[in-house]
Amino acid sequence: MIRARRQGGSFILFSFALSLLLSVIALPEGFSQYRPDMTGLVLIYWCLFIPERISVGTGWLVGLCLDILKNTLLGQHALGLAIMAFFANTLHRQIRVYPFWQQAGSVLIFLLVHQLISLWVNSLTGQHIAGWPYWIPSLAGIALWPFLYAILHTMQRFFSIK
Amino acid sequence: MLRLFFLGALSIAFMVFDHRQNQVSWLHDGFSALLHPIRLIANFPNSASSWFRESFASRRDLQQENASLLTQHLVLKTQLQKMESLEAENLRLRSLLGSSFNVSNQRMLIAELMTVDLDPFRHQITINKGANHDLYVGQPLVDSEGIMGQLVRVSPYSSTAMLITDPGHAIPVEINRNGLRTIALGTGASSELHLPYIANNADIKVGDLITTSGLGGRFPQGFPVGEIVRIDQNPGKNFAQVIVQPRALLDRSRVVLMLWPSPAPEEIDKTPDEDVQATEK
Repeated sequence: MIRARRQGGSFILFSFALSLLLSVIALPEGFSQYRPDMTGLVLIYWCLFIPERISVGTGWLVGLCLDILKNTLLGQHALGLAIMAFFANTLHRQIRVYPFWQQAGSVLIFLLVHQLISLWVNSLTGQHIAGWPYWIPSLAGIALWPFLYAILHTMQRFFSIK
Repeated sequence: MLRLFFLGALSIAFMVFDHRQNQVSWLHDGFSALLHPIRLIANFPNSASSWFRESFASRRDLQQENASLLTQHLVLKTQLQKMESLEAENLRLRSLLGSSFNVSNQRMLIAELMTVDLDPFRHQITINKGANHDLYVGQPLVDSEGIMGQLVRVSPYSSTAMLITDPGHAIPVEINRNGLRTIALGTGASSELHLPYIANNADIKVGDLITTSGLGGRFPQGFPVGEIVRIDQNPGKNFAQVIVQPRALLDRSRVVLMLWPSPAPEEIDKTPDEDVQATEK
């Protein structure tokens, strides 16, 4: 039983590492402000589908890594991702049985929560606030969600991660 | 729920300590070294493409490049000859005035940009040298044309620099033509700096060169910052709106130079005194 639960840990780690890489890799000029929050999406997926293993603690740790790679204030993304993971974890029973578009809607709200917390921290520390383009990454993220869902779902079945 | 409160409080504590005091740098350094492979992989397409370009360049291209570099080298060396005599003359004149001058004999180090994308709304870059090369927070970096910015975070193997165009950056400058001192602020646009404290009747012209004033002690004196490109004098306002275009190729330079500004010029202080004594005798 315990053996079965621990299966696929390395794939989960790999998916987080890849999402961190994708969140700092250089995009063509002008596209980097539309970069979707890959780490957030991967975290939401695992929080919804294996809530016993991935929860607030993982979200916080991944957020800390993101803070260091992006050179934001240490703890900014950690706080956002931990709160996001908490919501996804608490609501996973409802969201899993939602129809697809409703599921996507909840994912959008989670992504916006993460961005909102970042926005609060940025404005508290007196940083430059961009206007509405600030929210584009969440919309880009929701456009990416179906593909990410399909890939991670297939991989989860392949590695039989429970 | 309890865990969320605990971790939330912990991250708020981290943010408070990180914001001004830099007290969690040990944690930051450790994590940063652990995550360095991710930076290297993110940089890989860039380094691989430049390797390919260098390895498979044609012989003719290399010869052409070599020839043009040789000419450039010759031109620069000629200018340097003049510069040496000018520097000596300047030193003599200053010693007559009894004031000291910091002659440039600076330690420097070449660093390369890593193509790691940071927050798109802030003007920051990552370079591939860090604390193991003696870099420090606040260190100025320049490219071949002018001042680029300063380091804001130094990790063991990489560092993050804030460019002079970042909206949170200010640099003490002077106008090269008449020595008028002011401060240049970043605007968030990559080709604009803003001089907010220039009076409406100040002696400035479009095309004036702006250099670092060396006040504040962070940037060395006399490095070019930019050129004035626009002046809006509105009589209804206290100050003129002055826009400066940075000299440094902030969004194009791949190689940057780290400077160690020399400390206060103590040894040079002695020479004028001795000279004065010598003339008195």
